[in-house]
Amino acid sequence: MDLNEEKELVRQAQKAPDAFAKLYDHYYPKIFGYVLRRTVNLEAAQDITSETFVKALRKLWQFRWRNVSFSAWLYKIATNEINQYFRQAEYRKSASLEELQEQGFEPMSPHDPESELVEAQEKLKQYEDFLEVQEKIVQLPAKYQEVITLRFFEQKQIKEIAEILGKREGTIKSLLHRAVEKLREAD
Amino acid sequence: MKHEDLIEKLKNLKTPEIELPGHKQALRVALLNSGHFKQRTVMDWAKILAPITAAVAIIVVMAFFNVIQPQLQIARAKEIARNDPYVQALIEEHELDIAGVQLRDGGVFVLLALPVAETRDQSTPEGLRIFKGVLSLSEEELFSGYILKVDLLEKRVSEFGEIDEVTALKDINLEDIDFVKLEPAETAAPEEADLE
Repeated sequence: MDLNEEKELVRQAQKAPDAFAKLYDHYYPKIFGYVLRRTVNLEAAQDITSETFVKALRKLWQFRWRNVSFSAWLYKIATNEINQYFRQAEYRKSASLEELQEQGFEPMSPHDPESELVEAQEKLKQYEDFLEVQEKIVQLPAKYQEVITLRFFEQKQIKEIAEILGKREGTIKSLLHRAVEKLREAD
Repeated sequence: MKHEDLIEKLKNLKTPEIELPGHKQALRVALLNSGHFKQRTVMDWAKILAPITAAVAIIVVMAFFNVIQPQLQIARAKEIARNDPYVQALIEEHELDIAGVQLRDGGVFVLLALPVAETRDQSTPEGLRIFKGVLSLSEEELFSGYILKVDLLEKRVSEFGEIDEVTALKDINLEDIDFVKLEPAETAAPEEADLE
């Protein structure tokens, strides 16, 4: 999806569910993947991804294409939710997600939830190298986890990381340098 | 491990690419059927209209107090002055007319003077005209006459004073005028008022 196409889709999605569905289909795998790579917890990844899209839907009419792209805006919401997850011993679903569940939303209901989750967990275990590194990354402060994941696992450019985290590019570069250094020390 | 080596390791690390189609589909359906699109339209209008309504209300209030209300007060003051028996007597006796109305120092003041057309009398040398105690010079358009203070609440002329040789109502220094208070009874009985 190129930038102009995305801009047009975001504009339409503020009124049309079909356009929102296209954005959702495009971004769901990216956001779910990002959250999973940060949390390494499938259930948390489901809840956080759900909350991210519920918030995006609610706030979409407020979104204006200024300094932050739609992609960065979504990642920003997801990042905030992830940080909230790490801050709380038990990630509390917000009111918006609970409302959605009251309306009949069950995260895995259409498919066999048990088998889908078990299958996914088995898959996840196969990424041993990643899990080993991630175990060390989660020991770092959140600011370092964010930059490492976005840069190396999400393949984001410095400019986009700066947009997502609302920081200057120079700050991101120095955060990244320090993050790698901290990770090296922990190795 | 060196800094650069760790960066290379992180870059080349195979990261999990896992999807949960069940979750994706359920969330998609829930989001699209959640009613947010209908609610958003109503909220959108409310959010758009709220600041516009507030701005319009402020403009209307400001326009009322800065433009409409002063104009209304001026019109009312003119009407009160014209209908005031005392002023009517002055106008009749000296052939004066209302030459201006101004809101000043919290009061409404009406200038009673010769009509401008009258002051431009070319028959007298240098446009000088003396007319029953009212002096006007046509070249400089000086006014002489009376200044009235109108009480809008009591709907009457409450004070009056004489003025000499001013070019416009705004040039009159109110502190220099010896205002004479008019009692309501005086305005009600103009024939008894001392016009001289």
